[in-house]
Amino acid sequence: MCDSHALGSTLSTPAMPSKCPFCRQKYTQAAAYEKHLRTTHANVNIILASTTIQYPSSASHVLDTQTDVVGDRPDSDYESDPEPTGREHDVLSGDVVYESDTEVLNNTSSFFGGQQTHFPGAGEAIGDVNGFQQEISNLCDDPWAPFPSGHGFRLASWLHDSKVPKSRINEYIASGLGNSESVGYGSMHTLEKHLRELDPYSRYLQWFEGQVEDGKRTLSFFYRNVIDCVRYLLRQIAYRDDFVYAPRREYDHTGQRVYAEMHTADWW
Amino acid sequence: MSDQTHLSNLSGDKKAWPVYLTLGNLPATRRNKPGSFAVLLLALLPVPPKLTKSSAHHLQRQINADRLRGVFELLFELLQNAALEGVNIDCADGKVGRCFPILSVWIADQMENVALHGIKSNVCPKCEVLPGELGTDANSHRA
Repeated sequence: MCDSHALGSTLSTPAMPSKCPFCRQKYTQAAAYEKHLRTTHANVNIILASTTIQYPSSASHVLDTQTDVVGDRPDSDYESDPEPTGREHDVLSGDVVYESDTEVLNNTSSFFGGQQTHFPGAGEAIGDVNGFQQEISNLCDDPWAPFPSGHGFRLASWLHDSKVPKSRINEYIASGLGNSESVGYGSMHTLEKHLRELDPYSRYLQWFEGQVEDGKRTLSFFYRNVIDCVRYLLRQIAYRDDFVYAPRREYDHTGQRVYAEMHTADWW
Repeated sequence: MSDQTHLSNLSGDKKAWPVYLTLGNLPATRRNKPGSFAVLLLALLPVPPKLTKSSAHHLQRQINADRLRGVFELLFELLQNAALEGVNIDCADGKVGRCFPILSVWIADQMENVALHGIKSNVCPKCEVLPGELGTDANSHRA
């Protein structure tokens, strides 16, 4: 999303390892650290992004502040530094705004002034999604919905991932081993209902059955609506910071054109 | 992307033929990560039964190819109109965008290419060496 900016800031970054405030990874390059925050802690980003106001700083400034703040205390320990949490959050939220809003705005404006050729309206939004703000605020207010607690979600997640048979889950609940009050489901039926609610766009992923004949017999096959699959993927908030909506040209330090991702090519 | 997958030997060589779909708008580092779930199963193509050595061999091969073509026409029919005129799609940043979804890349191995494009399986479509001359030195052949 911000390869050109990241390249510039990497050159000026001192080789001081920055430690991620959410896990124990260390990074010497600002770009790598920023990418780590964006990918590994995407859930933190989403929540912070929707709760912060516009942060009036340029992209490189944010990156510099970030490395400086963390670089001040390279020896601080994970357990022993609860104090600077607020600062880190400030830096982070600035970072998030840079990713989701400022960066996009900068990109669009530079397209019109630069040598960029594109289809009319490329990357420009034509409206707002109905109920999007509501959805985001719901996500922040009640991150575990439809489960009442993180415990219920984690148990459901474990049951699902370990492929426990439905009958065994019913037995587990019926035997009273789990507290159905705190986990939020008292039977496999309600659990399945919760799991369906977790994916609000699953209606896009409906299967259709088609039939073909080969002269002797009829074979059936299954398919999904292509457009609906695209809608489903584009709507996933988890990819919010990764999507590229408009093309751009990229050059390396010698001025040579670089073709990497789809949006750096000419045909989009 | 598509690839035939072997499912079972015991109940008559069952095969699945999945077609997957993903978006070029996602950076490759994100898209190709298995945990990102950015690849959707688009279709399970009908696997033609094994060809027998009968007189109708060539005819059957032709029918299979035609049938596959029909399936793809059905699958991508919707895409044709959308790619030309565009569709409004809700995006993850809370905006509605005018999208022109096109099929840009189809990742497939050689046998898939043979099936999808109806080419000969013993000729490489990208190099100029004839099937009988594979493995020989191209330079000495030209001289």
